[in-house]
Amino acid sequence: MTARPLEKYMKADAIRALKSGTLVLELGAFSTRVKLSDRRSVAFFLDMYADCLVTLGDCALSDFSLTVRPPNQFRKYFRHQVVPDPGFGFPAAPLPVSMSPLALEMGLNLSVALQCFRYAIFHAGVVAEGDQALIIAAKSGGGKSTLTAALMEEGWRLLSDEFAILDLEEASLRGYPRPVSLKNASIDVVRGFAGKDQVSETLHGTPKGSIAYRRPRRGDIERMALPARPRVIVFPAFTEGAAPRCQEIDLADTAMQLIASSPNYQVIGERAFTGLMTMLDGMKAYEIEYGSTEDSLALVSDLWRSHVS
Amino acid sequence: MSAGPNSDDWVWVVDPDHFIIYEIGDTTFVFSRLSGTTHMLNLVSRAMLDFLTGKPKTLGEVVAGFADYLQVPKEECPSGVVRRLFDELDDVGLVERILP
Repeated sequence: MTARPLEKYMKADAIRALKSGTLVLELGAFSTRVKLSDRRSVAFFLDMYADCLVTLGDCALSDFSLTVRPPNQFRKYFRHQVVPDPGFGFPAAPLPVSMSPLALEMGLNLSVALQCFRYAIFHAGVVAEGDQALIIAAKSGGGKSTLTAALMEEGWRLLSDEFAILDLEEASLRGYPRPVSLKNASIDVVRGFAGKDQVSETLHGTPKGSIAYRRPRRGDIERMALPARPRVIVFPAFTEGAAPRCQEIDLADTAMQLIASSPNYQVIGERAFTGLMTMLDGMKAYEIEYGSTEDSLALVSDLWRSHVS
Repeated sequence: MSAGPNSDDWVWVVDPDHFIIYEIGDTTFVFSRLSGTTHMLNLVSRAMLDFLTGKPKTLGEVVAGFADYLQVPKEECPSGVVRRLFDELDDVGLVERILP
C-alpha cells in the first residue's frame, strides 16, 4: 500500500481511519498506527500532520501503535479525560479531553523513546543545512524548541524538535519532523515570526503550562529521508535580559550529557556507545546563553560559519 | 569486584576483551561489555588500566610499581592514592580478580 500525504485523502475517510485505528503515519524512520477517540485530537492531527505521508487500511504494518483514549468507560461520558496508550503500561496521568492533542504528542514521544532500539535516541532538537546538522540539546527551560522554531525561519530544515535519532551504522541523524512543542511565552514569540497559521491553538492549564505546536513545513517532510551529519551541538540557556555569551565545552562532558538524556542508550549498549563516540568525532560543542531570539540566532550563525561554512 | 577489603596478595588483571575504549581529548571513555556501563577515565586512571591490561599483578605489586610505570618519583604517587585509584576501578568492575 502506497503512502500519500494526509491532505490528499477525503477528510471523511481520514477521520474514519483515525477513529477506527486504521491510519498509519509514515514519518521518518518510523510508522505509527494512530487511533484517536475525540474530535479535538482528530482536528489537531488533520491540521498539523496534513503534509505527512499516511496509509489508510488494516493491512499496513507499523512499528508502533498509539491510541489516545479515555482511561476508563466512565471517563468517556463524565468529565471526559484521555490518556496516551502506546501499547504498554505507562503511568500517564489522565488529561482533560480539551488537552487531547498533548496526549497525542506525548504518546508519539513515548513510542519512540521507549520502543525504538534500532537507533540511539537523545533528547534534543535537530535542524540542518543540507546534510549538515546542528543539535540543540535539551535543558529544561533552556529554549530548545524556541530556538529550533527560530532556526526554521532562517531556512534550516527541521529534523526533529524532540529527538536526535542517531543511525548507528552511519553516525548520521535521521529526520522525524513532528510539530515543535512551544511553551508559555515562546508561543507568542513563535507566532510573531512564523505566522499565526503555522501555530496550533494554545492548550491552557496543562501540567507544563500553556502549550502550542508549530507545524513542520512541507519541505521538512519532503526532505525527511535525507540524513544529516552532526557538526555542532549547542546547549542553549535563555535568561531574561542576559547578554549573549558563548563558551566551548569539552566533548567528554558533552558525551556524558547526551548519555544522560538518552532513553535507550543503556538498552542498546555497545552499539550506542560506538555510534555516539563516532558521531562526536570532529564535532564542536558550546553552551550559549542569550536574552532574546535575535541574540540566539546570531550566536548560532557565528558558530556555524566558523565551523561548517 | 571484591565484597570486602582487598588483600595485597590477590592477583588482578584487566581483560581488554571485556570493554571497548574511545579517547576524546585527555579523557578516555570505557564501555564495559560486562555491565553495559560507560565510564569516563582521566589520564591516571587510564594508565592504571593499561598497567594491568593482560599483565596480572597483586595489589602489592601495583602499589609498588605504578610510580615507575608512570615514570614519576614515588613521593608524587603515594600508595594511598594508588590504592584508591585501584579501588575505584575495582568498584566499577574494570579490574578482575583471578586465581594465582
